[in-house]
Amino acid sequence: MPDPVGEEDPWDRFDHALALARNNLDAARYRYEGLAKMKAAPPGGYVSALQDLETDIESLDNVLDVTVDDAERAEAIARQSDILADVLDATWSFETALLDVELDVYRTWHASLERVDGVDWSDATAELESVTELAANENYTQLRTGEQFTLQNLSRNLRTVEKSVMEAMDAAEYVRRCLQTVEEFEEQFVGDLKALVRAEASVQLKEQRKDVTDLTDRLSEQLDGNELDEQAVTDARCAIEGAMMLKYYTGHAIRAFEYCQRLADVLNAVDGADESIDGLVETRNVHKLRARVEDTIVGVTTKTDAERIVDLLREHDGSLEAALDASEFNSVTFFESVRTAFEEGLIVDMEVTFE
Amino acid sequence: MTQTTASGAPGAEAIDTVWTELQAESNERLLRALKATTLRRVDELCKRQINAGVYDSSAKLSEVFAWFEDEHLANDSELVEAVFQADQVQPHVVSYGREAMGRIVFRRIVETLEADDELLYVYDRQRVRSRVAEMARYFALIRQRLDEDTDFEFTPNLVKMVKLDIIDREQPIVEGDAAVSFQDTLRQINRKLSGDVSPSPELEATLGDDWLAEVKASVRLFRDFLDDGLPEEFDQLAAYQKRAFVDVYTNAVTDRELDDERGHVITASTGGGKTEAFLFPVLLYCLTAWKAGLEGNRAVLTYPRRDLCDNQFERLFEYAHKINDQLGHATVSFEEAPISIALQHGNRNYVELDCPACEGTLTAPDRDHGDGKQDGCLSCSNHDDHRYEWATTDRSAAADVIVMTQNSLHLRMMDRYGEEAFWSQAYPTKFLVLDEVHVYTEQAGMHVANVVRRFKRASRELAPGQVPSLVASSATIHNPKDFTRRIFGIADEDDVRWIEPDDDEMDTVGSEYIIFVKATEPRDVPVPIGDSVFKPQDEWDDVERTTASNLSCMIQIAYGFWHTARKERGGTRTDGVDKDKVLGFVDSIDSVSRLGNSVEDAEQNRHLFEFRRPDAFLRGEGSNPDCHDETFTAGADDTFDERAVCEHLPPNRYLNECPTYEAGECWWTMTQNFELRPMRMAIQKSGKRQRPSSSENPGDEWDQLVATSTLEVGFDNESIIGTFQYRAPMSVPSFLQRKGRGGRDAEDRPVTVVVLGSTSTDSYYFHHSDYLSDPRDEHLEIPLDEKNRYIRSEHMIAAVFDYFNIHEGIDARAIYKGRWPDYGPDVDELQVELERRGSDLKNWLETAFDVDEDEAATALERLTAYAGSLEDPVAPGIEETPYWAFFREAVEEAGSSGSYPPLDDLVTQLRGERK
Repeated sequence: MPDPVGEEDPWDRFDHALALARNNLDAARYRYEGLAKMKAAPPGGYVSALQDLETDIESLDNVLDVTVDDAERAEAIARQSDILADVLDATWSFETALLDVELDVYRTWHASLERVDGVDWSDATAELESVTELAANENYTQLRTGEQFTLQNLSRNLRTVEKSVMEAMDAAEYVRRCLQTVEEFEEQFVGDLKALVRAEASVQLKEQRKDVTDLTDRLSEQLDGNELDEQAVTDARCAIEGAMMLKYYTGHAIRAFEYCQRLADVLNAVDGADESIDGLVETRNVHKLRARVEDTIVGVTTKTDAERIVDLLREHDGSLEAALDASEFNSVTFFESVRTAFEEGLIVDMEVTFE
Repeated sequence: MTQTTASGAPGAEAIDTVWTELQAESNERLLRALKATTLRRVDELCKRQINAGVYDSSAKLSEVFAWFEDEHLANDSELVEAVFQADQVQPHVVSYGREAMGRIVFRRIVETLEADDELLYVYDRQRVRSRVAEMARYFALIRQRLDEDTDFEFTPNLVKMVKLDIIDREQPIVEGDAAVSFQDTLRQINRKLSGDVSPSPELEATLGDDWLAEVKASVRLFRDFLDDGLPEEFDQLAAYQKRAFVDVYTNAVTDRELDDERGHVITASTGGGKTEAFLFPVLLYCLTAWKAGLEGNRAVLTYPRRDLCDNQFERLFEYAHKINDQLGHATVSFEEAPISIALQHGNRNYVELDCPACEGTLTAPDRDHGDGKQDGCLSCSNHDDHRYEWATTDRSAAADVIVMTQNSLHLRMMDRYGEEAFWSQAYPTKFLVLDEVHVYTEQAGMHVANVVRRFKRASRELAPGQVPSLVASSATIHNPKDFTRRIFGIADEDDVRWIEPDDDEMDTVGSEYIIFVKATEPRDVPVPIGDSVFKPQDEWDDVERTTASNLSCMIQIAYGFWHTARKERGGTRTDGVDKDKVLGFVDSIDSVSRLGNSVEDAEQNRHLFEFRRPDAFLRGEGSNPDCHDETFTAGADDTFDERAVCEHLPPNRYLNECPTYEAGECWWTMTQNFELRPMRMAIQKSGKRQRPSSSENPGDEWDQLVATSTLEVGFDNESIIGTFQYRAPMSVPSFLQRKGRGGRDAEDRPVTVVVLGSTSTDSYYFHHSDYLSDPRDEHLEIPLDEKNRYIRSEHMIAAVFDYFNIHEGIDARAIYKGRWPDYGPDVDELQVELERRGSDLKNWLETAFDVDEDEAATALERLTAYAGSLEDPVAPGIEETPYWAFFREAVEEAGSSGSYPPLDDLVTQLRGERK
C-alpha cells in the first residue's frame, strides 16, 4: 500500500498508487470472473464497483500534472481497489476451499473403499485422480459446473462402489470397515473442532455427534456379540454418511471462520475496530458479514436497474446469458431492465443467437 | 458418466475444444508464436541439410514433435498454462494426457502451415519441407533455359552452391506491459518539468513566467491528438519511444548553458517506430511555439533522398492535419495554423497526397500556363475548397516543420529562399533532424557534417542563447554515439544521448531468410538442337551456343524468385494488402537496364517460367514440354477429385518418380493463377521509374522492380516480400538497408536472395555469408572523415555565402545569383564585401568549423583571388573581355536564343591556336 503519510514526492506516490490500482483491478476482475464461472458470482453491486473503479482509474490516468491532492486521490483509489480485490479474493478462496473440503471427504471415503478386495473401484479412482488434478490446477469451475470431472460425478461413483461393497462383503466385514472409516472421519473432525475451540469459534455438534456415536456403539456391541441383524448393514452405511456430514460441517466451519476473519479485517481497516464484527466472526456469520461488506465497501448503489445491467453486460463481454447468471435479478426483471436500457440508449445494439 | 478412458485417442470433441481455445482472441499471440516457432524448427532442420549440400531437404515430423514437446509442453510453457489448463480443455488433458493433446495441437499447426503454403509435405507425409527450402532447391538446380527448341538436359547449370540462413526478426514491443500509455508519457514530461528548471531562451522571451503553464497546456492539447488523432491500433508507445519523446521535448523547452549542445540518436529496427520517436516531440514543440506566438521555422527534417522526403512528408501531413483539425484550424491560413509544414526539395512540386476530406489527391498548384506545377500550398483535385494553405511546397515558406534533403539545405542556406525560410525570424530553427543517418557515409557524410556545422553557426548568429536540438536516427549503425557526435560536431560524447529499445523491450516476431546463391564460372556452352540431341557430342551438327554468365544466373533466379516465392493476396492477415512484390538491387545504372531488359525479355517474350509449369495438375494448356503429365494423371484418384498423383505431394524418387521435378525443372509450388502469367517488370534509374523497354511510368503496377542504391533507404512498399542483391554489396550497412525493404509488416517473413558471381569479393562473401546475415560491430562501422580538409574547404566557401545571407546590409541575393536585369552573381559586390568584412568572415569560419586562423584566412584569400580572377580577360591575346562579363553574356544570350556565337568563335580560335 502507498505511504498514507504523504512524505514522498507526489509524482512517485501517484505513479505507485496508479500502478497498484491497475494491478488490483486486474486481480479483482480475475477473481470476479472465476466466481461468475463457478456460478458463485457475488451480488451485482460488485460489478458496479468494478466498473466504478475502472472509471476512477481512467480519470486518474488522465491527470497529466500531478499535485499532492492527485496523489492523495490516487492513494485513496488504490486503497479502495485493494479492498475490492481482497474481498473478492477472500470470497473466491472461501468458495473454492469448500470444494476442497468436499474433495477431502471423498478422498477419505475412497481410501476406505480401496482397502476392500474383489470390488472394481478403478473408475472411482480414475475420477478421483482427475478431480484431484483439476483441483490442483485450481480449475474449480469444472469441479463445480463441468460435465465431466465433477465432485457430483465423483460422489455418484463412490456411492456405486459403496453399493457394490455392501453387496460383496459379508455383514460383519462390512460393518467393521464402516466403523474404521467413521473412526477416520472422527479423527479429522475432532481435529477441526479443536482448532475451532482454539480460535474461540467453537461449534455445537453434540446432537449430531451423538446420533453417529449411538449408531457406532450399537454396531460395535452387535459385532462383539456376533449379533448383527439385517438393519446393521444399513446402519453402518448411515454411520459413514453421518461422519462424512460431520467432517464436511467442521471443515466448512473452519473455512467460514477464516473467510469471516478476512472480511472482518477489511471492515476494521475501513471503519475501525467494531465489537459487533468480532461477534459475527466468532459465530461465523458469513451472510451478515457479507452484507456489511457490501454496505460498507461496495456501497449502496444509486444506479438504476438498467444501469446496473449495463455494468453487468460490460463485465461479461456483452453476454446476456452470463450477465443474467451473475445477477440477482430474475429473468423477467432482467429482460425488462434490458429493454429499458435499450430505450434509454444505454444499449445500442443486440444480437440474438440460438445455441 | 461422460468420461472417456485415458487409453483412447482424443475424440472430435477434445480436438475441437483445444483448437477452439487456442484460436480464442486471448491466445492469438500464442497461436502465432506456436506456428512461427514450429515453422522455424522445420526451417532450421532443412537449413542444416541445404548448407551440407542436400537440397532435397526435409524435416521428420517425429523429430519436430520431439522438439515441440520440449519447447511447448513443459509445465511452465504458455501452451500448457494458457490453453491446457483452461476450464474447458483441462478435463480432456486429464483424460488423454498432455502428450496426446499436444499432438493434436502440433498436427493442427502443421496442417495450418501447409494450408498457408508455409511448408509442404514430402515423401510419405511424415516429413515436411519449408517453402523457402523448396525455393532454395529450385535455385540450386536452376539451369539456363533458352527456348522451346533446347532440351534442358543440355543447357548449362548456373548455380554452383546454395546456402540458407535464417534470422530472427525483432521489433520493439508496442502493446502490453512492456509498452507505455500516452498519458504516462505526457505525465513524465510534466514531471520532468516540475523540478527546478528554467525555460529555453525563446520561451522565456515570449512567455516569461507563464512558460510552464503554456507548456503544460500544449501537452494537454497533444494528448487529444494522441488519443483521438491516431489509428485505433496505435494506442501505446514502445518504451524507447517514450524515453525519446520525454527527453527530446524537455531538452528543447528548458534552458541549457550556451554551448551545451545536446544530441540525440535514436536507433531501432526498421519499422520499429523511430519516426514517431522524434516526430512527436517535434510536433509538441511546434504546438508550444504556437501557443507562445513564436513565428517561423521550428524544425528541419532532412533525408538523404527526395522520395524519402515525400514519404515522410505524407505522414507529417496526416499528423499535422489531425492536430490542426482538432484545434479547429484545418483550413486556416499558413500564418494562423498551429502547425505548418513545407516540402522543399528539388522535386517538391510533384508530391501527391491523399485528400483528408475526400477521395481526391492533393497537389501543388498548376503553373499559370498549365505546364507542370509550381510552388504553393496543396489543394485537392476534386474540390477547390479542400485547400490546405499550411502545407506548401514553397521554398521560401518559413513553415514550422520543413522536410528537405541535405543538399537542399546546403543550397537554402545561401539563397534567398533560405533567407526567408530560416533567417527572417527572431528565433531560428530549434530542431535539426538527420533521419537514416547511417547513409551519410564517406563523402556524403563529410558534406553533411559540414552543412550541419554551417547551419549551427548561422543559428547561433541569429540567437546566441538558443542551442539547437540535434537528433539523428538509424536502424543500422555501430557506435552511434561517436558517429552522432562527429557528424553533429558535438564536443563531448557524453552530450549525445543514445535511445534504443532495451533487450526486454524487444520481441521476436518471426523470421527472415537469406538465400546465398553462388553462380558457376562464366563459360560458353554448345547446346544441341534438333536431331543432334540424339548424337554423341562430337557429332553435333546443329547447336546453339550460349554463354552461361553470372548475369544469366541472376536472370533465371530473378524470375524464378518471383514465380516460386510464397505470396499472399488480399489475405485477412495482411488487412487486404497484397504481399507479392520483389525488389532487386544492383550497383550500377547500367546493370539496372541490362538486368531489367533481360528479365523482361525472359518473361514477356520467351515465357521461360512456363517451361517449369507443373502441368500435370494444373488446368489449361500444358506449356512445360518436359512434364510427365500423362503418367501422373493416369493414376489420379477421382474419389478425391485429384487431377494428378503429384497434385498433393511433390514427386520423389521412391513414390511417383519424376525426372523433371528431380532436375529442378518443375516448379511444383507455382500454382496460383497470378503467378502463372509473366511478371510485370519495372526499373528505377536516375530517380525515375519506368518499364525496362519503354519510358512508361508503371506507378505501382509492377511485380519486380530493379534499382540501384536509390531505393535502399526509406522506400516503404508494404507489398514487398522479397529482395535480391546481385553481386557482393558495396557495404554491410547498405545491404542491411536493402534487405530491410522487404517485409515491412512485423509478421511478414521476407526472403532475400544474394546472387554472388565469380569475382574474389563475391566468393569471399559467399564463404563468409555470416558477415551479411549476422554482422559483427566492425562490419557496421560507418566511415566518416568529418574533418576532411578538401571537403571542408568547399563548405568554407559556401559558409561565406551563408554569412552574407544572414547579415543585414549585404545584398546577398545579388552576390549569390545576381539581380535583374543583370544575370549571374555580382562579382563586384562580392569583392567589396570580402574586403569590407574580412575580419568578421574569418571569425565566422573559425567558429563554424573549429579551425585555426590560418585555415580560415587561406580559404578567404583563395576566394578573394578567385573573385579577382573573374576580371581577367577570358582568353588573353585573343579575347580581352573580362571572363565574368563574357560568361554572364553567354549565359544570358544562350538562355534566350539557345546559342552564343562569340563563344563558338572563341572556341574555334582557341582550337586553331592549339594546332
